[in-house]
Amino acid sequence: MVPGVFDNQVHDFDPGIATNGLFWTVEIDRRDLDVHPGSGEASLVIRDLDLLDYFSIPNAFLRGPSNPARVSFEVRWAKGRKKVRIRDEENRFDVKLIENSATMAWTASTLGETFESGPARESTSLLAEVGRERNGRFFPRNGGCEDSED
Amino acid sequence: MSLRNLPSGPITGVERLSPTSRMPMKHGGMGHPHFRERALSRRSFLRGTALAAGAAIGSQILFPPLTRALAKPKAGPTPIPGGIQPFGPGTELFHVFPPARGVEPASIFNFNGSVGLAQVQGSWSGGGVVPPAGTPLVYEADMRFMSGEYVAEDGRPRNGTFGFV
Repeated sequence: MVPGVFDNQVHDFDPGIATNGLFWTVEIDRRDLDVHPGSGEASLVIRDLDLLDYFSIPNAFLRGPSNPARVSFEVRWAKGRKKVRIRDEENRFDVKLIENSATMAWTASTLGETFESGPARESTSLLAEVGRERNGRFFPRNGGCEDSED
Repeated sequence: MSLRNLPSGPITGVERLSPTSRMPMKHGGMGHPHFRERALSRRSFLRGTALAAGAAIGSQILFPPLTRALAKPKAGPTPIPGGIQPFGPGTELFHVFPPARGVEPASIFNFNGSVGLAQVQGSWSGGGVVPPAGTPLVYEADMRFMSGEYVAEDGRPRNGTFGFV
């Protein structure tokens, strides 16, 4: 089983795993995103995104039963200062990040039931980062990302 | 986005999926099957496939070449080659890394653009759930975005914005 404690998990909202393995990733409207990789500031505001409720992470991994769900959320990343570079020659990805903090608020509905988070200001940021990534064919062989950061 | 009904206290590091100590990981080397669809919710994907199939069948009768071309779904991105094997060695590789410092945040391969990751925790309510006294309702979310250019499964360069939810 998937490590961790999931007995107390009651809902798990995600887009599902595509047949080609693309994981929990869904195309969104560019206008839903405002991002400034140089400062780390960003916002992602999405209304009425159709997802699935898999009830628990292990069930989602197993592509088990699910119910249709609809989720709206706002995630906001604050400006940050700490710069981080992750470069993996073997796996061909290069990431330049600003570590910062994030807040979130959301609403969700499934099968006529609605749920909502507490206020964004009361959410706790466990890990937050914004930046630029190049991987695969875009992996810079010369050892650096020379593009502008904002 | 995970909603939990915790017996006590907030989610701790033990419960979060750690890529370094809790799950076997695999970087690269694992091919991924070719596929023509972009990532959608399973429901939307099935619905889209059914519509595309219906359009293709109709097109053969009415407007063979043109409609068939229009009915072809847009090729989507490919997943990163690395990922985790939460069910153990030799089991399915899931093309994602749990949120942690020092891991790749993107889920899309052949990608060049902006990325963001937020692992956030908080409280929730609703659904008629009334927990016992002292039992907080806690959620944990791993929210990400990727916006920029990528090479789609058909080999063509594209631009797009994606959310990881």
